[in-house]
Amino acid sequence: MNSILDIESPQLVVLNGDLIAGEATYLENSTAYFDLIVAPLVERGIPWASTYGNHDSNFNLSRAALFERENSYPLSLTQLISLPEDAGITNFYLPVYPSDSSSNTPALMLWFFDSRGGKKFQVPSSAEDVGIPEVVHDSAIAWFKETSVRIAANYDKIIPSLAFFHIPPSTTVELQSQGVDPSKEPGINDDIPVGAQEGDESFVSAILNTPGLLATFSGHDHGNDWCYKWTGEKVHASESKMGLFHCFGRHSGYGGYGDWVRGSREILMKEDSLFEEIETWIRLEDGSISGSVVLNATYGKDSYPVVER
Amino acid sequence: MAFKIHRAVFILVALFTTFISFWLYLKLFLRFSDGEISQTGDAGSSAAEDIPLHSSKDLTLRFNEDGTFRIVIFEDLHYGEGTDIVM
Repeated sequence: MNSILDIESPQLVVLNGDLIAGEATYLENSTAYFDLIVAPLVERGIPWASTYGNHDSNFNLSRAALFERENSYPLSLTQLISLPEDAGITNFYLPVYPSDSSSNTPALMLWFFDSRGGKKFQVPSSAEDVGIPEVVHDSAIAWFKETSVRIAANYDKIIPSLAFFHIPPSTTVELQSQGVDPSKEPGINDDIPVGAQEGDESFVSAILNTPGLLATFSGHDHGNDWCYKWTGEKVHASESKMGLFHCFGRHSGYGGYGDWVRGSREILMKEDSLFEEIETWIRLEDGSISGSVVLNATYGKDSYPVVER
Repeated sequence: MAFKIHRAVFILVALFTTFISFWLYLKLFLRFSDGEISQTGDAGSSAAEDIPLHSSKDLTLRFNEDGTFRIVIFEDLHYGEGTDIVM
């Protein structure tokens, strides 16, 4: 994290799930790891927002305790909204305002979803209902649909947006089965099949039918970091000239399976071309760049160097 | 004669011990006065506990003056776990 932050200068860091391996921690200090995670961000004064992953819930680690620890940091922008307990924690949005400080209309909205999963806190593994479904909860989907409509009405315009959640949508499984083109959708593609959300038809439908949503980002599959353009008749087309995309990030941690070079996904948004393109790349721990692409109308047709590691 | 020697050695040891004790006390008092040691006794905090938890920074997210907004995503950190243990 330090080596990447020494190179990149983000206005926001997204911690996109599986921050702590709850199955490997003790009850007494399981959330204390969060202090270590954010120390490089606190040192640099960089704000962050989190989604929690399936490993962030286990017998000795609860999402509620993790949020309580996170919420003690003023640099944390993670919000807790009023939803049923089963919806998890990290369902919220953040507005990004224009460079013109006199404008009160957000130029970009960032949505965060809790794709849940893992095991219930302090429930023995022998219990039948110890597992938590790996899918965004219906109440969070309803909140998202209602809130996005309300925001558009309040500002009388469609505001471009991005979304972040830990476990990818099931559509990635279908896309991968059709073949990920290493030169047109560059990235490592070693986790086959993709581990994805289960029973996420409602969530996928909400994503596909939200005007202004430009791209979604997930982790979970350490061996995948490609981007693809969502296709299908349901994809909204009115505002965006570029389409709707989904990108995996890069495994960032020293814990977890796999020996791919650690790194992080970078996103560069430009105020004057929000509905036209997004620049994104993987910054590896050694400082090099991998899989640099432009998500635009011709993504999927343009050729890029093949990613080898 | 031997008794006088033993007495002199005893006095010297006692004086030396008193001097060392006074010196250590004085050193500790000066560090306390300079604020180097917390008055709450929290002198052994870890690096994590030393992280400042409060900031006066304006956290409103806004595009830079050059019209860009940059995000870095870190994911799958798995703190608390070694590599290649579990998925």
